[in-house]
Amino acid sequence: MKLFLSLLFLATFVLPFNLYAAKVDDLSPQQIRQLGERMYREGVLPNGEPIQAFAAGDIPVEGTSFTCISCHLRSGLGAIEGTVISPPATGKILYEERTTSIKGNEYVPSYHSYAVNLPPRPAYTDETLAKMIASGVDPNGRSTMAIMPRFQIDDENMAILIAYLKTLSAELSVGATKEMLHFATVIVDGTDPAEIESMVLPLQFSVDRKNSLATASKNNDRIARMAYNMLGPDLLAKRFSLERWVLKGPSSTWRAQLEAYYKANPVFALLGGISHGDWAPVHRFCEDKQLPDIFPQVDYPVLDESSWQTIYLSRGIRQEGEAAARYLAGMSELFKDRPVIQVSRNSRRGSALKAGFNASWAQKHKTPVLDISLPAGVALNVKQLSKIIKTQNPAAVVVWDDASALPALQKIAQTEGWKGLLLTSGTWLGDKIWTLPADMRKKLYLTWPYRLPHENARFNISLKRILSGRSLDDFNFEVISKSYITNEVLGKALKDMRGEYYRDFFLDSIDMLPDTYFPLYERLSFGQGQRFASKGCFIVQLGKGENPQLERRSEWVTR
Amino acid sequence: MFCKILSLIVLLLLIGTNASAAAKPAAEATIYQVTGYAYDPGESGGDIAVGRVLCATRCNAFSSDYRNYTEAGGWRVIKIASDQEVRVDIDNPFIEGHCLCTADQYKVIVNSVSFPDRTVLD
Ligand code: HEC
Repeated sequence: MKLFLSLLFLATFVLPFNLYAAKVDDLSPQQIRQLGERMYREGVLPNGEPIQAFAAGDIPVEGTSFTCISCHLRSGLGAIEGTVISPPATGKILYEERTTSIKGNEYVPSYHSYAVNLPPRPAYTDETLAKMIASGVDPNGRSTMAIMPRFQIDDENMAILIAYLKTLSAELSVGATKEMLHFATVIVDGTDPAEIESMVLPLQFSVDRKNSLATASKNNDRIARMAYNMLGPDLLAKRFSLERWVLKGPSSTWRAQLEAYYKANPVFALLGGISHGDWAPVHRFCEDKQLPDIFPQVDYPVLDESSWQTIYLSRGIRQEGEAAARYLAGMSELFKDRPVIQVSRNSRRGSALKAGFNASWAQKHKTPVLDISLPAGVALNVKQLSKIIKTQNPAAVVVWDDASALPALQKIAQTEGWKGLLLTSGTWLGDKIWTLPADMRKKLYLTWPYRLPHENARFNISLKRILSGRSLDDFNFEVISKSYITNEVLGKALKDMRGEYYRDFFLDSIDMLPDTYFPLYERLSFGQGQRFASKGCFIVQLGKGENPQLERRSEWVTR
Repeated sequence: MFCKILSLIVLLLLIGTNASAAAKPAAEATIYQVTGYAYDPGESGGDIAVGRVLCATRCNAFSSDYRNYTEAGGWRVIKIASDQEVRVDIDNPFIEGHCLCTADQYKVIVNSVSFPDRTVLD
């Protein structure tokens, strides 16, 4: 019976009756890329049907959920550590023999764990590779089906898929040469010079250190040996460069400026970057050039879920609004039928907070939020708002404005007979957050998208390492912390890359990092295609006393 | 010369060790990891079910993520008591009373064995 079934299976395989079947030889390289990419990334055959896959040997599963990309990642180079464990599936590596050690890199951690965690095997051929994908048997005759599904793909389509695997991470990305890795950071002209310095200094510091180390290890065997064991000969010998790409004038002209910078120096990736206003043109440029950007420091990141190239630290200003809504939603049963009033400054910042709040609120609640908009330059009208509070008796009043609203908030908090929650953005208050009058501290709730400052202080020692003897007070604390994170993540990713300098693998390597604890953010987490590393925000209040601390009133509220 | 180069290596960011120095008075801290929660309305007559929900959030807020200490480097987190009951104000305008957080108690101390230069908690 079993034999019969497999014969039947073979017959359907062999029957050359597929209207959509295209011979791989007749296809252009672009067509192969396009069709192969669709199979690899979406699990869809050239004829538009899902690939049939079988997990654990014979359990039929949709190939569209068991896509190659979900395990072998976008670069095809897989991951040995982290949340996904899978070997590379790129032609270049598959058609090479795999041994138990990688010559010249025996003691380098990333190479070592790659070599010892994956079994040795001979080089694949087109035939053995097709057999592996279709039947889950590797060239040693070993079944790999415990994790890797087998895929029912006919010969023509298999040929396309294999041709595609041969193009995956086949040519080193531009910006990476044998000697150099080129980087740039994008600065929007007009940004506070102190912030620019705080953003650039850590990046420049690590580039300089890296280059001194490359030189020092050439001249000194002992250093060479020590550093070799951590970085491997390839990364050790590489020098880094960092260019500053300053964007001037209106954002509509940035594209041309970026094109010119890139033409003159096609870098491997962008590191950091800074803008308190627009960023979308840079984001789009990176998508179009397939150029990674790691942690630009921007208030308004592009929230497009399908974008790939830019990894942001968070969802920006908006994230505080989202967290506020989720915090309130958690206790909304207590609101009975009392409304929520949201007062927002009609500015980019106010609108981002409001949009975040409304989007998050709408996920859980149909009850509308009473929105009041404050035009630019017009102060919060206490009388009016108190009147509204008296008539509406809101369960919560959320105010998105800067510290100039504090005196008004103080009066509102004391509105007679009103028992409700008053909430505002902690970061927008700036330093004024520390001077909230005592009678307001119990009443005012604040969003705080970072670790609490007194719990963060111990990370300052890490920061001080990169200041070359200068004081932390000389810098913008948040900016320098964020740049420090960029450095650390860059270092970790490069060390995991085993000399394979492909942009997609760079991003894959960051995606596979475990949760990390760096200065500033309570927690950063990564994941395949996740593009906002800090997902949370605290709701806090200011404590008692002369040197008050922020006190948590919520856990790290995540989206 | 060698010393200079050595410090260069130690400082190299790519390697990312946690070693460093500071010189301030020594200190210790106590942190909690919350494992349970309850609501105590006291005299207030607050709704138990509602209070319980709010106390879940309030007690979680009281909890510390110990990796925020250990990952910074140079500190050890030592468990000194299990299942302590800690009473905190519910801090909510809708309801009065207290939250009873069940928590494991930890002492954070300077890891002076590996980091002899380090003497303070921040
Ligand atoms: C559920 C995760 C998963 C999916 C989906 C998956 N793979 Fe794999 N793949 C693995 C794992 C794990 C291995 C290693 C198995 C082993 O060696 O035991 C592997 C092995 C391979 C190998 C052999 C590598 C070697 O060095 O021997 C190839 C080739 C391969 N996969 C290609 C593909 C292709 C093409 C697809 C999509 C059609 C795919 N895989 C889908 C997890 C997956």
